Amino acid sequence: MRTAAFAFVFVLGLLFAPGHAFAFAPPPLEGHVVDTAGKLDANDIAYLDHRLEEVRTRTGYEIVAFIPGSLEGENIEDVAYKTFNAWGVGRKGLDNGVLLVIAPKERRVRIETGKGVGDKITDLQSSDIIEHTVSPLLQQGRYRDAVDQGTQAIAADLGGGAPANDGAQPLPASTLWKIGLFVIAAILILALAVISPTFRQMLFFALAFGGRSWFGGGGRDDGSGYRGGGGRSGGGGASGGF
Amino acid sequence: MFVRRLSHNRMWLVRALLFVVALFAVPACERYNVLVEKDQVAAEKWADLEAALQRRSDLVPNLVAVVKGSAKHEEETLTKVTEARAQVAQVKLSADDLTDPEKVAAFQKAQGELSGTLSRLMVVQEQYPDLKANAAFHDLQIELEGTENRILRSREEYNAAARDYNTELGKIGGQAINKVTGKPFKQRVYFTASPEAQAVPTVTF
Repeated sequence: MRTAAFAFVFVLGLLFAPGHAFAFAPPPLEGHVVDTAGKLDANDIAYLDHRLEEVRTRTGYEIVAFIPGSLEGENIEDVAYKTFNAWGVGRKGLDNGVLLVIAPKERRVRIETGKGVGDKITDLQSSDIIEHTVSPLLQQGRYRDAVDQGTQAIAADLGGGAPANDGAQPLPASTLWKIGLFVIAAILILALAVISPTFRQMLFFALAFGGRSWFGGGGRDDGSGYRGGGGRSGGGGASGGF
Repeated sequence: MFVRRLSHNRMWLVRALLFVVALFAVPACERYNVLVEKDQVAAEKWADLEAALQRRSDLVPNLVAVVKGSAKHEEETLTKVTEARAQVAQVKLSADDLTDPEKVAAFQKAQGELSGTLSRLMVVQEQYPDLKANAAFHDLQIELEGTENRILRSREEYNAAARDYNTELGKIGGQAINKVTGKPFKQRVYFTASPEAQAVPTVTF
């Protein structure tokens, strides 16, 4: 009896525990389109990613589409907000990102806007895009078109805006470090090769037989490689159903 | 010769003392700076929350005007919304009041009242097909939803910032600095949702 009571309390505790055990956790951000529901094929994703990367380089605004397999019992507002800030959609400081979330299982849509675009794309405009562009296409099961036309409508509302880069984008410090180290290593290797014949031989064999794994391994990059920019959302945007 | 040696020793002593003071003063200054910084972050978050609350308050007159046209039998609900808004306008909080639990409670109560009456109004509108078809009302409804969501997020962010600051202040180091500098820092009061705002509004017809 007592054990049963304990078990009951334990289960209650699990159910009402702060930050539920089955809370939604955002998947990693890979490119401008993340689909964990499997509604888009690889071609669609590549195409949409390319389109949104083009918007990003042209206008500076960062638009991401997310199709979660499940909201894990949370409402779409919470999921969109969490995901937006976990990914950091938009550039840090500018907060010029917009996230389109489509939940096929729950049949809900949300456009979450960054803090910096509230005057460019109002909640009303977001709602308008959902009602007149995204939802009708989703009702026909056309996910690719819904994402494409929805995000392009968002881009149109955002307008031209500031260019992404004022001229060339400065390299991040970590990349500079890597380049510096690489240059130093290359000079060392060259110097050693000049000085020591044994090292020359070793180098030759290493290049001839192990070279592939040295030089071919890194940096296989499919798509835009977009990984978010540190932007934040303040809860702006609109939701709808389909 | 003797005098010179003494003064030399004293110099050494003074240097050692200065060193010891610096040893304590540098981290103390840092801690003070951290407190100031976290207080500023919380103040900034509060400003966001206040802006969102103000936005909601500004929406009310338009909302009331639109509903009045279509929903003739909702005089009472509309009066309550208007009253709640007037109340909200009266209870103002200055930046210093955020450490005063009573003032924050009064502010929260007024805002909670407005939340409650507004959500009741939004339930009532279901009864009026004209109203639901009204484009102006549709727009206002979306704006209100967006504003409520912003209020929710700003509140979360403010509470997180306040918690961060309060924790720093509650630590032994923070307490010591606060005492030494004449207690310029006070614990911030959290802005929680009122129980009324969380309850689902019940409407009897």
